[in-house]
Amino acid sequence: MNNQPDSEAIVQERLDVLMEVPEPDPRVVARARARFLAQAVSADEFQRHNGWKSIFRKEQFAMNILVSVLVIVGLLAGGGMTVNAAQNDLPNEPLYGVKTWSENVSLQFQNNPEAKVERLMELTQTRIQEMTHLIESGQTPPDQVRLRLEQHLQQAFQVCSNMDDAALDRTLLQLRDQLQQHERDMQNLQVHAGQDALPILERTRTMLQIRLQVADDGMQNHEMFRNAVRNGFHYGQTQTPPTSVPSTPSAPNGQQNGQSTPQAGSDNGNGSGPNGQQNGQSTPQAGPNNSNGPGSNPSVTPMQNNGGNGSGSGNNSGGNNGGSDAGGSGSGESDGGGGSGGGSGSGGNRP
Amino acid sequence: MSNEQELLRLASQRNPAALAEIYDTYRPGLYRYAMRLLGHASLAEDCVAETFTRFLKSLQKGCGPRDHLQAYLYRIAHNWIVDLYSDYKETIELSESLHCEKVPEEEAAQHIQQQQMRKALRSLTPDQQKVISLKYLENWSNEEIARVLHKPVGAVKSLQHRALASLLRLLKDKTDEQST
Repeated sequence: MNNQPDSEAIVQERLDVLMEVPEPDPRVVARARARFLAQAVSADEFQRHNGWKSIFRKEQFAMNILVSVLVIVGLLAGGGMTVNAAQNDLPNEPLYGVKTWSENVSLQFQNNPEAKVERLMELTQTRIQEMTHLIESGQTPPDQVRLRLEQHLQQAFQVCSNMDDAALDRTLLQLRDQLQQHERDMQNLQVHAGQDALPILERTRTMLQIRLQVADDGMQNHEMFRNAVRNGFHYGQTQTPPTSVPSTPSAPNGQQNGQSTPQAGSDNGNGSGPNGQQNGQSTPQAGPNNSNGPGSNPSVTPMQNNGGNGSGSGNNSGGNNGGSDAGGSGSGESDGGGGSGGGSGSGGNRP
Repeated sequence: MSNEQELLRLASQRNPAALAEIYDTYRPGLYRYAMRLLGHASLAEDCVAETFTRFLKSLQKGCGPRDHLQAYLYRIAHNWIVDLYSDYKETIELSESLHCEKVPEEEAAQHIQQQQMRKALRSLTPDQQKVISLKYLENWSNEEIARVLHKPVGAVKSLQHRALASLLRLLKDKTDEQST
């Protein structure tokens, strides 16, 4: 350690050769200074965008996301307006498909069974209004409307069949009231409709009457209703009403029923026997249909027995309604005995 | 010291005036330091530029110095130089030799001495290099050097002692080579 001062002196002397440093070029210094300050400013910019980058990593990606979100929002907003505008469209108008699509979507969001039935009945009301608008404008409602109405009702019944007794009571009561209203609406429409529109209106009314009867019966016997809906009462079955059918007229109506019954028979595989007897035209169909009746329904549900009973009560109104409906339901939803009873009753009342 | 802390606080907020003041204060010394160790103006400029760039980045990350800014900057500069030595040793020697060819003959002897001195310094460990450079080229106190090295003053003195011994031996060997 005693040598350190000497060592320091020697080193210091040797290092003196490095002490002299030429002055840097002032222009280079100025450029370097400007570059540093510019770097500091750009670093500040970098810091401001850092939040974005921490989320999206790349600003370009963030911008793409932003644009995508704006486009989606625009489409949704535009789509929402389109759907809204479509709500008043009729079946022959371009946005009707959007309307029905939005209805289907709205049903998907209904989780509560009673609310779903309520929504379905709103949609049946919409279908009736569509028919009314078309009739008032002198057009014939397309069968698509009737089918969709029938679909709504079938869906409502299916939802009801899964309810407990208390909820089923409440819901069926509401259903029945609305079906009665729809049936009255159809009746009124038939008065104002042109000849071309009468067949579709009559088919619709018949379908409503059948559902009305099912709702009525279901209020008396819940289990029967559930079995009927689950087992034998499928969408697309246009059955002839079994029972008390509100009075409507007439020969034309009777002819309508007579024409529609074979369709019903073809759907159900039954029910046209009496009608065949009435018209003498569909007898060839009546045979197989009648023979198929019991065969295709080997397990007769209590509801179907009720149908047979219904045919008995149908005798009261059979004269008014052409009897074919009552007879049809008798043979279709009851066993052979019920069917024949209905048939004979209606035949007796027929002029 | 409180002024320096205020300056650093403003610099951490990317205050242009504060950053400019820091640059103007420390740039000349850093340049001289780099120039003494590197002997090449453009490399010294690169060293200074890179030192301030790293300083800015540390401010962005929020991990910049809170005090002893001079020690912080010199530590960056010296580390950059050490990295350069290890990565581009041959390039530096080549550029120095080319530089030698350009100087007049009367300055050649001085330049050769500078080269020998730098080479001897580069032979020391990085910490020894820092002690010798800062102590005898920049005239820093042991306390200031201790801040650069993050070591106690006693450790700096010990480093200094070993560095001097090593450097003397290296220089003596070089002298012996030349005499033979």
